Amino acid sequence: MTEHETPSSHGPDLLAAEYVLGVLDVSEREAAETRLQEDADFADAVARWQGRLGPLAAPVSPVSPSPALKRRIEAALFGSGTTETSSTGWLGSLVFWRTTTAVSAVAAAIAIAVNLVQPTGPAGPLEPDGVETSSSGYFAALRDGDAAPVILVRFEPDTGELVLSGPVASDLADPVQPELWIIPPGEAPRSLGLIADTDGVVDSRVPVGAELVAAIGEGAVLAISLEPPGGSPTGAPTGPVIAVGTVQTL
Amino acid sequence: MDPERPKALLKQVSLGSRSAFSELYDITNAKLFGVTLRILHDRAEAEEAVQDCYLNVWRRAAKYDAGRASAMSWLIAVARNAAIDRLRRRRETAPLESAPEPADESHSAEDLVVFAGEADRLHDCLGALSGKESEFVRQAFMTGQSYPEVARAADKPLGTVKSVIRRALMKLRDCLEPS
Repeated sequence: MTEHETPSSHGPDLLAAEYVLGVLDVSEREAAETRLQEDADFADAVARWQGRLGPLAAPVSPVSPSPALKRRIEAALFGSGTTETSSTGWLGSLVFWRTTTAVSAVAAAIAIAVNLVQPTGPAGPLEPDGVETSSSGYFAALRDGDAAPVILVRFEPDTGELVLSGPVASDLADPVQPELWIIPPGEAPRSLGLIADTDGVVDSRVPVGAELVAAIGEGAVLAISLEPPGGSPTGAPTGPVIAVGTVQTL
Repeated sequence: MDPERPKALLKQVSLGSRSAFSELYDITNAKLFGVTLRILHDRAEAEEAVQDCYLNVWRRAAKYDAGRASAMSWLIAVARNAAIDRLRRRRETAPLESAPEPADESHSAEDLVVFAGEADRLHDCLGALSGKESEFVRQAFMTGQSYPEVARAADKPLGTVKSVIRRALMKLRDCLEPS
């Protein structure tokens, strides 16, 4: 009898579809949510169905909620003292170097970018058979939002180092230290280490541990957050993100 | 809106950027409120669902997988979950009879940009379903109704509605990702 079949009797993918569509009753939804926490395959199926069915919302007309809603949400997340200023946050810290060194810094950053994109020498080591590997040269331009590159990062496979260049904000009242993170596609951020900050200009080489070299590849995201001296106490970014960018092949 | 923008912002939100969260809210809140309002038919409750949604977005942004769903689709899923949870709770205490609204078929220019080719593909695949199949799927999505509620609204047996929707979902999957 079709009417008495349970959702799960049709397999996890159909249950995921029914959960995302929203046709399950309260107890079935709760069971699906428990499974979501425990069953990675099911969670994956749910994520795929979210992607498939999301465009069903295309015809829904946007409606503006009360302007107070944003303040309520930010107060709930960040505390009541951060209603208007929260939107400046780490962006404000970048305004500092923009207004002081902006023109020359951006010009320098772009110049470096051009040099990196059009390397004059070989981009990387040669394979034993003499064929240059396409994956040997990696490059990322870390930006603050849509702004010009803030920090340029180049991976040197010879030395296993990431070479960073560009200006970084260092006007913050509290002592902070920039920390570099890599986020492989679909994974959590992993620390690549702290960045030396000399008079507000990053000129640093970050050695990449053998276990992280494999994570450096096209599509991975590099990000810099401001952390307490000594680095993030939790192993995950805790402070504001000042620059983010995607790794590309040279 | 640049369809890639929500994705870039979600990545920054996952790293704790409040300004990215603020911008993400600014460019997506009206769409998500429209979605929760269609489900809850009550501005105050729909705003609470949007609030639940963005709290979850802040906490779970790192779980978003760009290889599985567009950022906008993921945000809509988080918003619909918040609205449906509220709808189910409300109906447990005071069942409401609300007539389903017909889906608004007009695509705004903005939506076409947000969903880009995704919406066109889904639209084509919905067009390949039978009339009842696409009608029930759209209605369930828009209203957040459970199987029994869809059946009651359509005045059809529950078993019929379940098998029509299940068949439609499997057809959609095969149409969107032909093996």
